[in-house]
Amino acid sequence: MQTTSSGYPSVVNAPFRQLSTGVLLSWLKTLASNISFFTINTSTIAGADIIKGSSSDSVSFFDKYQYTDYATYVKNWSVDRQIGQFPFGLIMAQADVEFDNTSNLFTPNYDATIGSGILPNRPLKINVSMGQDSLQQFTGFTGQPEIEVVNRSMTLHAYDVIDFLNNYSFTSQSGTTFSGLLSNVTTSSAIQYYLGKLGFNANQYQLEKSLQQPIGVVNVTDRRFGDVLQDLIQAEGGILLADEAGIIHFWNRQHFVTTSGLGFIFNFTPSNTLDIKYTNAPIINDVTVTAKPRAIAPLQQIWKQGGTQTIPAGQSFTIFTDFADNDGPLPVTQITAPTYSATNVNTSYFTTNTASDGSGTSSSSDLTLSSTYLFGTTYKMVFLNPNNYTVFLTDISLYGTPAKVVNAISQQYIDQASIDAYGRNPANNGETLALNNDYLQSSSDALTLAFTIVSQFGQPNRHYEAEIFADPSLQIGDYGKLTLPNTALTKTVWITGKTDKLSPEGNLTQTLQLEERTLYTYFTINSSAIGGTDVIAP
Amino acid sequence: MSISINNNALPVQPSNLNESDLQLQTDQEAVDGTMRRNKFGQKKNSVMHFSMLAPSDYRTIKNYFVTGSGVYYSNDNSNETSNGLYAFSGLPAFTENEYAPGASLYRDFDVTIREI
Repeated sequence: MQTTSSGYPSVVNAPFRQLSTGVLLSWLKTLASNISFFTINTSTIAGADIIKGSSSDSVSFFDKYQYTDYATYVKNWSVDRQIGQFPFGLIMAQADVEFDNTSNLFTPNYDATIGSGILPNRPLKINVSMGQDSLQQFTGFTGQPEIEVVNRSMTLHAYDVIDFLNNYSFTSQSGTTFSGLLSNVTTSSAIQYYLGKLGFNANQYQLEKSLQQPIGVVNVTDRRFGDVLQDLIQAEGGILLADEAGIIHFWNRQHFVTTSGLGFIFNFTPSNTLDIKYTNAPIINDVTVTAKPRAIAPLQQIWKQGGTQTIPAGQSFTIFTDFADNDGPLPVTQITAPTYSATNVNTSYFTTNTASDGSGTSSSSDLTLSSTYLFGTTYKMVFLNPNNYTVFLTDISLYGTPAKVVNAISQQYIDQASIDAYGRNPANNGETLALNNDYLQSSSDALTLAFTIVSQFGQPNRHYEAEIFADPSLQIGDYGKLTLPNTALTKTVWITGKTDKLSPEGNLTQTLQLEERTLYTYFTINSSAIGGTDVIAP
Repeated sequence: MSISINNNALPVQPSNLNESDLQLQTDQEAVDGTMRRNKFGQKKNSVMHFSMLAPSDYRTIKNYFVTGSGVYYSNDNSNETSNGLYAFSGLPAFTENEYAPGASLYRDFDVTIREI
């Protein structure tokens, strides 16, 4: 739960609660004073500079914008954050806010002050105040404003910072000039590295320790960051989310075990619960996890040209090479750019000739390699023929460091009792749920991931949706008790989803997704005690 | 009682007046009947009914509200406040009524002004 004052519990549990809300926007994205933009290779990581996006817009560092509170125009808002189908992955929060636009304040280019700023990608914050506590509910960026001219209303849809991370691509077009390649790195270290390169300060994220072995190769170059993050987080069985204030958190698979040691944060009883439903989470009792982890191999020949290329006088010629081996497309972390050589040598080279069959002359001045670019599994070379005669490219050999598959892992975990009772994966056509993640480094990690899913979803009736008297301090990951009305049943549950809505006439509602979880503290080398209570991952 | 709109005294005072604070609050009820009230504040509101307005008064009063923009409502002899002053900026919504039969174009007029 969010940090509150000592008087908050009595305020939130009182029969009468005086509420207010703040909906803060920075339409003009005006920054507070003394702010400079982050420049790769210049700015200090964890320094004060802020990152600049693909345009002149800035991203993250929400607190450094100058905001104006437009709550008096707000007709309603809702904020939603959910874990998703499985108990791991990225959690993205969304917000919707409807504004009254009778005065045309939000009509583009109408108001003299903010009219020019009625655009997408504006920083948005939503909070709720109760007593002396002001509790942040959402921090993120808006999408395209939806403005209904006749109805005089405007609706904003916004996402939190995880959406920005999810959609960011580390390409040369996005201004990335650093290496996106990491080797022998833990998940948390990799996330920390990439967030740092994106300009996030150390106080803007909190990353728990990775429990998986270091990963042989992680490369985000020319990949969508969200795809990489999704796989990294899945391999850990962890969660990546941004909290209500925009702080990014990585939780490892032990997080819920840890929070359970903090005691009950809430106690939902018939006196503070408006409605409770069992939700129909799919029964999963058979999971197979496969992986082909990779490691960087020594420098070696990875490609050789077959045939001859013709490059007319004064023209350039582009070659794309696709690397592959028996395991499919082959990621290559580094390539030695080829240089001219008249004969075969044990490094990258290219050979030219004035005749297609190699019977002419060959000279280092025949061709110039004007540019190269490594896309991960593809290499681009642009050759230029500066001469007034045709040149034939008779041979190219590339040497580099490929990330080769070092192991093939396949682990299956089944809950036979669940299969006997409910059938095998009834929500997956009776087939094993197959997951592939090449960031998994060991069989035990793969089996742990399969076990995590089966232990959480092998039995039905462990997921609930509860509407309660809203408590704006509650967060995903909070732990407490749920008592089912008219029964003696009390469940130990965690909050895995949360939807808050503020409607006209001061109606603040809160609907929570709750899960019962079976907690296992897995044995961790250098952390767990031999003979202690931690269990070896299955 | 003296009501003014935009600091202009009405030519005719309303025949019926309901000044009241709208309570922006919602009561919720838990499974066992426990009540919880969320209150976001209150807004001033005035509902006026004018009976049988003469044509010139009708036009004068209606003209205060036809633009649709906000007006400043003031009543210096109200029971809603301790000092008798009930004043606020609000948005008006009015309803025109039919002519009274045989009454030389006299009409009723209704308007509600809600605090912005």
